[in-house]
Amino acid sequence: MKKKHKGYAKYGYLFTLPFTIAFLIFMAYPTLYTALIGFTDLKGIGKTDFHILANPLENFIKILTSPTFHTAFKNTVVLWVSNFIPQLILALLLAAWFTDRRFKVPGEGVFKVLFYMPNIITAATVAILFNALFGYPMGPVNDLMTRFGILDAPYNFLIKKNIARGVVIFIQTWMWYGYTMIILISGVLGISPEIFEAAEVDGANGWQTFWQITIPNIKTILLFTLVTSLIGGLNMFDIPKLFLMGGPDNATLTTGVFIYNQAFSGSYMYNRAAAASMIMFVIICAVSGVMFYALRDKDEEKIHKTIRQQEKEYRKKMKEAQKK
Amino acid sequence: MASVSIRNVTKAFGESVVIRNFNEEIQDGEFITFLGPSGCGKTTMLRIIAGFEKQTDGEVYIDGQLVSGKKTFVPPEKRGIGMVFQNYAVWPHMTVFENVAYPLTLRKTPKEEIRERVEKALELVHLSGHRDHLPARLSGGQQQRVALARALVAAPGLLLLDEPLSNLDAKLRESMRFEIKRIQKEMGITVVYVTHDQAEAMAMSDRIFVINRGVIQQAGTPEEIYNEPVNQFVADFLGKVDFFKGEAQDDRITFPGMGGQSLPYQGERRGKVDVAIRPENLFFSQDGPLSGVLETQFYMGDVDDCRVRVGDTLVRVIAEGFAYRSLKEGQEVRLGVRDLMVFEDNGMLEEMLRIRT
Repeated sequence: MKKKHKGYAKYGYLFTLPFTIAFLIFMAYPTLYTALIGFTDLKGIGKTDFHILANPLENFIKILTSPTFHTAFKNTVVLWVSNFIPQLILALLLAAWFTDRRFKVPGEGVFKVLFYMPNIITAATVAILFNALFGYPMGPVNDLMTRFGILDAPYNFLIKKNIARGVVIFIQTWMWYGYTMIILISGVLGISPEIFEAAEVDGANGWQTFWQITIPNIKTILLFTLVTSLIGGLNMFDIPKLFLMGGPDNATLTTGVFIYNQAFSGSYMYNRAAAASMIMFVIICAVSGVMFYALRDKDEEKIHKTIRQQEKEYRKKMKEAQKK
Repeated sequence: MASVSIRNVTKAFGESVVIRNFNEEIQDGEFITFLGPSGCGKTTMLRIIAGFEKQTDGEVYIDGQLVSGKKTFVPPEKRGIGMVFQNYAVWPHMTVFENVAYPLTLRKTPKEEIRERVEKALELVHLSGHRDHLPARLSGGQQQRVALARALVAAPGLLLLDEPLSNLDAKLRESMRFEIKRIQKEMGITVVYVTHDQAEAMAMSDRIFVINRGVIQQAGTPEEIYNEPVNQFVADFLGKVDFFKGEAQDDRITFPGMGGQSLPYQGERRGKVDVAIRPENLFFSQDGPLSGVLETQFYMGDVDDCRVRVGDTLVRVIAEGFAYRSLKEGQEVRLGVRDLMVFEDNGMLEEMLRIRT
């Protein structure tokens, strides 16, 4: 029996081959290549030979001291935070609503699909759609607002920095709340229904159940949502790039767009782009780490701590015993 | 303290009727068990009393007050009940103390009183030493006792337990039975207990309702139900029993399956009957009315579990442990009968067997 088992094992590797090859070519190699060229002088279209710079950190220093990068980073954080908060609140409320046992929502499935829909549409389509909506001097938003007398004349919304940012935030929220909602619903449905029934018998109302029972029980799911959204948010590229190319006046320039512009426009500074990518990589790792630490299971931690303490004491005693 | 009266309750999920015309009174301070196989409707009935389900028809009264009827529905939290669930349902993110205190916290009870009452409840379930632990650090039995303390802390008149012991190991299950019974007596509380375990039901209940396919088969004290079951199902569900087809006439029951051997019978039934005999009511005796051959015997320590072939029928006999030494497999034996139960042969037995196999 055992021999037969061994014989089959190699087919397993065979089946993973397509993924492994694709991963090595399209993920591992580019990542390592990027890490490397950050330290080199590689720039300009079509160039493939490069040398390590005299000061290998030159690109990194340039990026870190670049005011445009600072703007881009600030924008990224602002855009992510201000889309994540409403997105999470909305998703939580909807999840609570859809999972409340006391009232069944009629047509629940239809609503779930509708809410999830924006996430299925490609970012390019969404970007073009919103660009058209806010068209100037002619576009649905301007038409409606002049017709109802809110505006006297068409207004070029998208050259205003804050309006442009606001629209990007809205698009991001609108595209992702359905996704977050589905994740949270699955989290809530994973909790044993008896836990909610026990709370009901004890007299907790919907609001109390939500805050005191539901939320603490989906803490890990919330952490998952937070971290994945953070990683996605700090890499935000498609909507800002396709909607307004990072404009107006760099108002929606995210680090993703900044990196793209470094590498594929102007003087094609692949090395700078690579350095900026690595900087973002380090930042994302650090922030995720902090979040995991901040939201860790504190009780588990305590147990581990006491176990370690006891082990230490035990070893100490053993040592003393040996000395004697 | 609370009484419960259930009047003509019927519950259907679409086409399938899970409870049919349930009609019972539960007295103040009584310990009632709903006993039946899985899917018989016992949990559904409990959930109707609790207010988690609404019956299709009929009414439920708690302490004489209508809590669930055609136009009335009192939500679970307003019914003055405590409930314990099969999977404990303690909240993993709260300590033992917080778990037990929760119902009181929601009622905005003063802090000092909460502390006092929670400590009393924890003492009642022997968990005082664990008040600051999280449930993950407790064993299954301890978690279930946390749930019990939580259900009791608000001093409900009625305690509902939904198979609370079925996830525990055998030893713990046994000791928890007595714990629950003791607590019930101490608090004088009315208890409705759902289980499929007949031993649990026998050990704790004042009265047992045996339920099958949504219908109460028999309601009575453990003794009544065990010794005077009303039909084949009840006889079969409580304790061990063997059924034999017989023919009753002239004060005797003849068994065609036993080569025409017969037993004396004083009852009123005539014609085709199902005879149920509990293996512990059969015994080896020189002048017993049945004769057969001892086919196998298993020594179980306290008892000797035997199979005796009588005619074409294999009969199970549970004799005292010491019988093992004096008997040999293949030996001719005679059997005496202490007690037998006779039911009309109405096809119920065949139906039961068909479901089981």
